[in-house]
Order: sequence, then C-alpha cells, then structure tokens
Amino acid sequence: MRFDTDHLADKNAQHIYQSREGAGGGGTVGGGGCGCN
Amino acid sequence: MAATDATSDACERSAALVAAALALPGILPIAAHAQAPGEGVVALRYYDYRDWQPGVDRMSVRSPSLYALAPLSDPLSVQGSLVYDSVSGASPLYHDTVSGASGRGIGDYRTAGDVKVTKSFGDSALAVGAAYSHEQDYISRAASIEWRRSSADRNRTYVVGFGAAKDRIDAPEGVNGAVLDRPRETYDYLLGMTQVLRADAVVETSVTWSDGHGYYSDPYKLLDARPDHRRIFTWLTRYNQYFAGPDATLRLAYRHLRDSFGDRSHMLEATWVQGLPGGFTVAPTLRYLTQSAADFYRDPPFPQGFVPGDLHTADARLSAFGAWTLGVRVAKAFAGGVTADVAINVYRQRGDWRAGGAGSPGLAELSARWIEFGLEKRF
Repeated sequence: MRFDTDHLADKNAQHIYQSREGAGGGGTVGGGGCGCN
Repeated sequence: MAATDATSDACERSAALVAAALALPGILPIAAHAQAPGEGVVALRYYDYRDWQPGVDRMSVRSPSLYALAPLSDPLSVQGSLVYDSVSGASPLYHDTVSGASGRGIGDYRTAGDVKVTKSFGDSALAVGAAYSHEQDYISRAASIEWRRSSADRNRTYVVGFGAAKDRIDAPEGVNGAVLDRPRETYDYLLGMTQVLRADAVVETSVTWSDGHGYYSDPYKLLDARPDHRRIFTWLTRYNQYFAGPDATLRLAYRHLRDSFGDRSHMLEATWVQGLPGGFTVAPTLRYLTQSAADFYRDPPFPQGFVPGDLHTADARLSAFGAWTLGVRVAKAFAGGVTADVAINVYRQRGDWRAGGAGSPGLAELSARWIEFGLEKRF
C-alpha cells in the first residue's frame, strides 16, 4: 500500500527541496545521493 | 464454525473497504496492497526551474525525465526512471564563489537512473532496487531492498526497507584545495505502516534513519569544513481524506527531521485534489517548512566566527529560515488511459519566516519557481 501519486513529480520536488534546504528525504531508502549537499 | 464465518465476513467487508478506497480519486493512486501492480505505466515529464534573489538571477535547471512500470508476469513487475538535468547559474548570494547544483558553476549536468524489481508472495512483496547518478564532480551508486506485508484483510501494510549508497566526490578545482576521489557512504533504514481507516480515509506513517560517513563539505565554498558523518532521523506521516460532496481529496503531510549537524525541521503540506467535469482535476498545494541552523553555521559577514581547524560553513541552506511553496497542478484524463498535466510552483525562503525561533540574519531572501509538464499512459 503506497501513497505515491506521481513517481517523477515526487522525485523532482524532492530533489528541488533537497538542493535548497538543509536536509530532506524520508519515506524511502536507497535513492542515492547528489552533489547538491 | 460460526467464528470462522464471522472472520470470513469481516475479511470480505475489509476487502470491500480497500476496494472502495481504491475506487475514490486520489485516495490510493497506486495498488493498495503488497502485490505487484497489474497495469503498466509510461510517463514523461519535463520541468523548468529557476531561482533568484533580489535583483539577481541565480540558477536555472531544465530537466526531462522518463518513468516506466511493467508487469512482467503475475507476481513480478519492474519499474525504472531516467532523468537528465541541465544546470546553469550560481548558488545563493553570500558565502559562495562559483557554483551550480553541485557547486560546479555554469554548464553542470546530472544524469540519473533507477530500477526496481518487485516480486509478490501472497500477502508479501519483496522489492530490490538500484540507482545511479552522475554529475561532473559527483557519482552516486545506491541499492535498496524493501519488504512489504499486508494484513489478511488488506487494510494494513507494513514496510521494512534498507538502502546503501556509495558516492564519490571529485572536485579538482575546489576553492579550498583539490578534492580528489573522496568517498561518502550512507546506509538508510526504513520502517513504515499504511492503514485504511475507512473507505474514504487512509493514513501512512514511517520513520527513516540515515547513517552516513565521508566527505560532506562543499568544495566550492570558501572555508567550508563539515563533519565527516551525518545521521538523519526522519518521521513522515501522510493522511488522505476523500469528500464525496465536492468530489475532492485532501492530502496532508507532516515531516519532522533532525540530524547530527544540528538541523531541526518541520514540514507541513496540504493539497486539495478537486475533480471537475470533463476529466479535469485541479490540485492547489500549500507547503511550509521551518528549520534551525546547523551547529557550525556562521552568520555573515563572512568569515565571521571562522576558527582554523574548527567546523565551519556559511552555506545559506544550513541557516535558520522558513519557506513557503504555493503551487497548482491541472490534469486532464483522456480516453485510453492517457493523462496530461501542467503544474507551477512558487517558492520563497526568508530568515524571518522561521517558526519557533529566530531566523538567521543578514541573508537575502531566495525565491524560486518551477513549471512542469507531464504525460502518462496506463495500459
């Protein structure tokens, strides 16, 4: 049972917030890192 | 025998509950149990992002992406995505020299992909995934395993997950000296549960623990020296409620995050998914985040508070601030399982918008907007 609404839209938003805020994520594992710190 | 019949009846009623929840728009968009999804999906998405500070354009990103989910056989499915980011510009004012998404400067890019295979075993499902991301100065390789188990009545699903990522940072033009082939390893642990409360209400909650070691400093920010480990605790809860009267679904999310850098944040998000005639859906979203500063963040003027050999950053992303996002998505469903959507989000962060404490002083506010176009086909 999952809450995903749109895989790509969710990933895009998560990446944007992660690159603009101190830390992000949650609810998933193994997504890999990025150089946006 | 009577007890068996009663149990059977209860299971049938519960199954009907899940089926009813599935039938409502926006409540459970993906399969509401641990079994492999029965339908395939191909989706394309393009987003255009840019941010700015007063009088100065900062960074812009253009990003096409592709997602596909295919049921290979009854108990087996595979899904994956690809994304390419083209980045130009510089990161926020103050404290930085040249930079892009990874601090690299004008002309950076990111290519990333992930794949996940899911196999069902009755009420359980096991998913194994891999992800890869490549920037000019950064490579990330990740793997994950996730196990889901549904209750006999399918109203509750538990999930346990583990992920590992091995990253490499290679920045020979780092402003504090060349950073060559420095590693970072991260291990993620996930525990979660989803519960169908009623036919029109579903709640999900999960905790994630992330334990990372390696290089965390920003090679393109002067005097940036961060700890060599980062532990992050995240609690995420989401609640979806359907309202029959207006034919709409309210989606609420709350996330609390705290980490060993000293960051503490609270995020609240609310989306109203309104069904309209003609297959249209309009979904306004409001999101608020408040975060504290990292223990080693120093306020401007740079390099105030810098002590050689001590941890130090002037990265505004690790400062204390509040941020609002206002967005709207409009989607149209066509015959044949095709859906198209367009979305725009506007974002702003300011020190004095922080709740629960003072924001970091002396930073220019940061604004951003991103526009998305999506096309999806289910078969």
